[in-house]
Amino acid sequence: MFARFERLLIALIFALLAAGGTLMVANAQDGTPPVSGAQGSDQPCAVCHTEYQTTWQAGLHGQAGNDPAFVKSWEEQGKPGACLVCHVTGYDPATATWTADGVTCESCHTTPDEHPKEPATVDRSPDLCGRCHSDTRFGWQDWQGSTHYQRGMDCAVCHDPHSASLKQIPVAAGTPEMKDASQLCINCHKEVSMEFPYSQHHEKGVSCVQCHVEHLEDQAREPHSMPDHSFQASLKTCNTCHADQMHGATGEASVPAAEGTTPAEGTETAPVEEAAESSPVTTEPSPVSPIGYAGLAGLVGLAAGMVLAPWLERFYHRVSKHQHEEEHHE
Amino acid sequence: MSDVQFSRRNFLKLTAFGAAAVAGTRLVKEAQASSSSPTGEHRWAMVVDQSKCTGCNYCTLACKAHNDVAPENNWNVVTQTGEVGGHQVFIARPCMQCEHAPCVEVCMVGASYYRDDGIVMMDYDKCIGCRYCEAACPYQARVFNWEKFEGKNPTVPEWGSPEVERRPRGVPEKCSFCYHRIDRGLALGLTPGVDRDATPACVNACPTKARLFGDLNDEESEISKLLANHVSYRLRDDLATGPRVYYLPADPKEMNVEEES
Repeated sequence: MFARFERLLIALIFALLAAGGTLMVANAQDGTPPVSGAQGSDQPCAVCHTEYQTTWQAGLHGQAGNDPAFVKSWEEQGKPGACLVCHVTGYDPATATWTADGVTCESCHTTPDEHPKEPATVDRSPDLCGRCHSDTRFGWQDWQGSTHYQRGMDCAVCHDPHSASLKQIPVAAGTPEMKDASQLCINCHKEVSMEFPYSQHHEKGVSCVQCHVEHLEDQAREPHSMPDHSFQASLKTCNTCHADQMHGATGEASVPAAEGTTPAEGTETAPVEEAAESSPVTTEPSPVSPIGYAGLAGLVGLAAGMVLAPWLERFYHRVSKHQHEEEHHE
Repeated sequence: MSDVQFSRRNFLKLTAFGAAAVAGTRLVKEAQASSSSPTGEHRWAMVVDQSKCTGCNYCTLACKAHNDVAPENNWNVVTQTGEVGGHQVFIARPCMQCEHAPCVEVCMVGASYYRDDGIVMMDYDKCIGCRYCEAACPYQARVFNWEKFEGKNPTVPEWGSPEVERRPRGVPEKCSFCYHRIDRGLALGLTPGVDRDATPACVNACPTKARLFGDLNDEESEISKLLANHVSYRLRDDLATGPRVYYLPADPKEMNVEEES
């Protein structure tokens, strides 16, 4: 009886050992990427920089390698290595291996051997971001043409690279507040932010980004596509609401905006000057409203009247004189 | 009896010597304190170009994150000062790191002192919290820690990560020109004002490069050249505090050019 129990115990111990061993071997062969670590030190970055770890992991850079939508699409396409150049870190096309899933610290930071005594360096140039974010769909050319780029601003002025989202500006009491990313625009473009709240566009709920970045006509975006980073308002965007006020019935201009389909719902006469002023990209002439035409016609009439007035007066005099003479004869 | 008299005389002598010594050291100390900051190898200064400043407040946010400043306190303040040529003009105000700093002069315990490079420093262990320095500062650059700053800093990690210890409750604090960044940078052979890792956080954070930092002793530094070729002014120059923050006044021509480009 006791011997049987002992045998059972030994068997149990062996079973546990075997299971443990198998698990260890399995884990070793799992191919899970090593935890992204500082190059110089043995510790992973997140041991000390916990504050960045959370936001990074939840953000698009942290998710780039294991986002279900990406994984599904990647597998459907036959797992092409080209995708991994940007979706993982340290991809080596020769061996088809990589160091970590997602866009990790090492993608932008270099950790010296003496870290933390020596600070980790970071490449902030838009060109580094552009290595991945420069596909034609990302509008890299538009961004390079923008005043922001030309005046030396980098991506991190508006974007937080760790959370891979837009920066959050704390709004002080008594300052104008915008409901969306436009808060970032008015933070620097303060003069515009003082005038904009009095415009009809603002009353109708249109914000900076709806015309300058995320154009009203292309709200639903394809994967990999990005809002327009030239920051120029497009005439097409104006037409989304002001189509019925436009002359020259081209394809998209002749389609009147249906009430309620656009976030702006602005079908009545809103001033178009503001949008036209800030859209030097348009190749078409700026539209003239019917009131403008009426005004022009009025001016022409006024000038004609002034020129013709003496003639008319003389003619009237002659006629009246003639009549008078005729009456006199009778 | 004579022994007693002898010792009394000795005692009086000793007392007189002691009093003289105390008074002497005190006088020397006071003379040192009221004199201007020592002139060391470097003389750090900041230049703020008002033509470029858009008042975005990134400098304040970066400062709060890097120096772990409590949400209710600000070491750097950006205010709108008026309009020039139809453009709004802003003024960013860090600590002026005065050459003759009133805050150092009034400090009775020596908690406020000058570094060799001119930075006005705070020794939080010596500080007794009398707030004389806060009252003496003509620029209102000092803020008082009424409460202990506990919990999360809302500007971290988006605007940077803390590089210095949080200050205790009951002491005034102020901008330090990010001395820790300067010192670390110099130790690594970097140039403050040129290399980001040796430059104050507010200067790094400025999206329009309206803030510049450098060494006034170095004639080849960007700020030395800039100050030599541009009109500049300092806040409350009439008080003879000798501020080390220089402002390039807003030039409407320059501002219009920027708009056109």
